[in-house]
Amino acid sequence: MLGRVGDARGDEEPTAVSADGDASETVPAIVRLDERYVAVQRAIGGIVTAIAALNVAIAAVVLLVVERVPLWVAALVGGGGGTVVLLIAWFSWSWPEVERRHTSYHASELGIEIRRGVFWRKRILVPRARVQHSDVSQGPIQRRFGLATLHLYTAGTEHSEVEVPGLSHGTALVLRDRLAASDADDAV
Amino acid sequence: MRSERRLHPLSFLFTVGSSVFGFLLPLFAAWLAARSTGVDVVFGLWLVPFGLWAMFRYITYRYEFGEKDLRIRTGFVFRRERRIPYARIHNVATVRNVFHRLFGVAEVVLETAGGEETEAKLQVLSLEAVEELKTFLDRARDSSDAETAGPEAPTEARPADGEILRLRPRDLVLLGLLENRGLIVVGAILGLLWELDWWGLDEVSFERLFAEGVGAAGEVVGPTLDLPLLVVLALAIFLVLVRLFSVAWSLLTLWGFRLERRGALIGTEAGLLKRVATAVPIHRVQVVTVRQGPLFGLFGRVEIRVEVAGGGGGEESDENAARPVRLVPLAPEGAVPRLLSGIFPGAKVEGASWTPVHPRARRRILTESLFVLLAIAIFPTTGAVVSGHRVVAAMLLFLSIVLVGVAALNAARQSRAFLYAEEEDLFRFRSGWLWRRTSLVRGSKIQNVTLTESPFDRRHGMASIRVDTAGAGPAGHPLEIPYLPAESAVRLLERLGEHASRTRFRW
Repeated sequence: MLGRVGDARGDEEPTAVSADGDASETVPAIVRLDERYVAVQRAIGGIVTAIAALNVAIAAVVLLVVERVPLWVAALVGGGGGTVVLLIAWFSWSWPEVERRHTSYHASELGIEIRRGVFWRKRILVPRARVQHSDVSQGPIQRRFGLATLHLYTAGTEHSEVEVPGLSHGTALVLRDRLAASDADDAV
Repeated sequence: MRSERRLHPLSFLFTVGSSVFGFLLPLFAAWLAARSTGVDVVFGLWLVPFGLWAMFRYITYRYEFGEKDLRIRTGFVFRRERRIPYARIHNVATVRNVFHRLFGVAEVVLETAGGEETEAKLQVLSLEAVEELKTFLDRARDSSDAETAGPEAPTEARPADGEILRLRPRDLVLLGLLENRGLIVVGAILGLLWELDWWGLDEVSFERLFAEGVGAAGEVVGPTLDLPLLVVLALAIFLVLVRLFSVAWSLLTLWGFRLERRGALIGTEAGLLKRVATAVPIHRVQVVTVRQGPLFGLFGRVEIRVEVAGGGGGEESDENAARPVRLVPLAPEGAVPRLLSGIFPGAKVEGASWTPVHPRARRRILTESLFVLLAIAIFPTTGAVVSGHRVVAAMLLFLSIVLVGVAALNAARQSRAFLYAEEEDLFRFRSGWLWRRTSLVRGSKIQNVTLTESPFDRRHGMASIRVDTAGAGPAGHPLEIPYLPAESAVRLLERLGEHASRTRFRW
């Protein structure tokens, strides 16, 4: 068994390694998703839930007023839709925390190993020598919470782009520099 | 001395000719089927402006050898200059059909990392111009390779230049018989013939013929088997036709097949009417796969394909996909080590020690097959039983039992067929028992490695590993090993990562 990849037990002790350059953050060798990631995902989930709820409400109202369906039909639709909305809401609230527990990034001399997945668990190992170039991106909600996503580009086909979300902006920048600062003759 | 060059004066003819040819077949078929005469008028109307455009294109097309790239300029009013860095050109192909040979010219196709769309098609050049282009590209590529190679110049032993493989007509006939090409074409031709009422066959006469055939068959095998016999005969005839087509196709496209090594390039050349020559730099070969289907296996033959990618296209890294190149269409099993050492210089290709997957893989494969079988069989069978078609139900039940036996056989064979081996810098993977595939990849071509553990894997303590490379098209052999014991998978992941980290990747 691989064990819960998010667990600290069984993994090596996270050794804090000073960042290169003049970044003020200390980035440990094993990076968990930032706590704010959960907040970001919940915020996004909230928006989705609101949209879904709005759709259900509009559907019920349209049915009632425009199509003049009997009240019980509209109530059924509203009830059914409402249940779905509640499910979405509950899912959006509880899933990010589960995801967070099962995601971790292991940076080393070799490169970076991305562990993620709750049911289908994956470990994606990207050697530093194979990172072609990298990006740090921030959506509007991420920006508000100070988070960012690191994109690593390789020459692979299945994983020509690997996304590392849920990092604080500073950590993302440090990781990017660290992975890009390969030896001089690792030129491609 | 850099000067501008033009295409050969006859280019205009060839441009028009090749377009017409593309049009011709569907046009001809449509004309035959529709019997209308309006088609030729339309064709003529299209031909004139297109001819003018082709002429114009020839006049304005120029190319030049820049220092680091090939520059192609076209157009007069709307000018366009295209620059292709030499390092990006990973395949130079020449095509010569009957007409090309008649006039002593050739069409040159330069392929880059994109793979599907060619970067530049020079139609046509005189033979001297082709030689000049090739020499120039070789020289430019060698010097750019030397630059990027730096202190780590290739130290691996370079085997001698020369011919690696040559296929004789006899081999081509065998290849045609073993392959299945033409399934679609023969079917299409038969369909077309049906439409055209050749042999004076219309609906009525066909029905009569069919009735006669059934009667004749009935006389031979009795009334219940007459229809099946006809069907079997028809299938047999169809298969024979397909095989004949396949042999003809093989002879036509692979006539005089030669695989040879020229310095850092691996080149193939083949074709009877249309002679195609391609050359690929060896270090752009990412994965080599040796394939053997059941028919091939019966005759002790294999096929070797390679996945090629590269060209230094840093910006558009989505263009990594490429299609596999069939370097060896047919060869005896025993020749594989020699052939591989020609393609894979300096690698130890014989005597691998193979590691199998988890012993419980067999049980898992069987369980998964049974689930699928159950899902497929349950509705028809219960439907037949419920509606009282007992004979059908019995047949379905019998079929299901047979399929369960097949599933058990498959599980036993397939679980033993997943094997992997690591040796120094070479990683090998085997899969399949009917359709056998062995792939080899060097550490320097491994891009990243993924370990996946599905919920089912977790239950059994297994995991699967997948190696990602550049240019792994969908038609290639995915470098994936399922049903590995979990700890072996983790260790394999780390080792593959180390192999990849220790080596430089060069396009």
